[in-house]
Amino acid sequence: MPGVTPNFSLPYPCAGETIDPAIFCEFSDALDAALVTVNANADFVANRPNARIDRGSGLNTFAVGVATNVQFSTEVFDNDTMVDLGADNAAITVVTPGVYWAQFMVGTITTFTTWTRYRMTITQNGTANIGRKFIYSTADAFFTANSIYGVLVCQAGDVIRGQYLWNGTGGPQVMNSGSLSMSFICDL
Amino acid sequence: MEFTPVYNLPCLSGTDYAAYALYLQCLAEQLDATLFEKQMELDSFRNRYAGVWRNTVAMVSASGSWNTTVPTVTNLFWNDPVNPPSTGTAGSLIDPFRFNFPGAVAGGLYAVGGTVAMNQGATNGTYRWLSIDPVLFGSSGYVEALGAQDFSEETLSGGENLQTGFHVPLTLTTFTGLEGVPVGFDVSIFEDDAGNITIPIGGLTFWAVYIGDNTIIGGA
Repeated sequence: MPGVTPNFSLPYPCAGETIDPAIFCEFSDALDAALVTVNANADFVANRPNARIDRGSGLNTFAVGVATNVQFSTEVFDNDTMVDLGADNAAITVVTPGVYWAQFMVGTITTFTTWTRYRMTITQNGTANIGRKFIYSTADAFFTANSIYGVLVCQAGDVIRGQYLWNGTGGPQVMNSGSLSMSFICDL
Repeated sequence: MEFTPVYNLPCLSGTDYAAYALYLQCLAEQLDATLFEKQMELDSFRNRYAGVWRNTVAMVSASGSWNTTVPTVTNLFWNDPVNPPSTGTAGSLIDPFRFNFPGAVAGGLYAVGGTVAMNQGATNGTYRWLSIDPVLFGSSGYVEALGAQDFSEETLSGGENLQTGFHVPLTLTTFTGLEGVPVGFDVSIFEDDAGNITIPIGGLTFWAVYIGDNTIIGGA
């Protein structure tokens, strides 16, 4: 019986064993498998799951006082098949379980009479896990963009959305920019 | 038997024809050790320290005063089984809430932050205040503030308040992990009227993520 190394089970002949070509083959096969394992880990580290979707003009509008999922039109990047804008243009769906950094931005908001406050939320399977309410005055400087962000513990299949609600008069508001992104931090 | 200069792999020499078995064992063990070291480095990078904690006891501000309850937390996630974190340390009203990193945390750059969802009583107060302060603690208590976020509102009508969905933005800071020097969060809430504000069970979520060691920030 050949001996094996402790971590990757690389075989080697023990004293007194016959050394024939087979042991070199077994050694090479085991080394090959070990390199595949390490390279797979290195590839994952270099390409940790990330996805970002951006919003342009011409998408859904926002009635006053109604929490509405923000729709997106452009897949900026996605290396883990987390985005399918054709099937659902308001979501990033987690494929690889892990702890993720989530970020949600809204911007270029127009079409309202008065605007007193707004709330941005990142939902996970419909639950608001990251959110912030902002007080706003119509008389303030021109609104350009705002972001919220945080850490989510995610399982495969978790659906992440950006939700927006505003209060004031007039509308519905039009939002011509924004983004939602998810970036892998570590394994569960 | 000779060895290569970088990874110390064995090479047969002209007098080693009787040492094939030993050669293969040395080669296998050295390759195994080298690959394992790389695997551990990759695992360390892939699974950097990260923790997410959530409160299991509500936090309440008495009318016209600071919060009087001290929430404890549960770990939603923590990836260092060797050094399990504290599940929350009861503090004083000055330090009403904190969680501890395990004693042997790595020094370096950490991102810390959280989300707070607050509820309000039936009566609106006229002034509300929330403070989130990541701090270093020593054996005798508070040591150093790492960065604070204060939020307040005054004279706001019903609905326009901090009552729900309140989010604490990222506080990006650095600290050096030392044995017995935990990192915690002070959380204080205040309302000056009868409409006490509360942070319900599950309303506090804090997180900390290790970004890299001190070499990337030039720290001590």
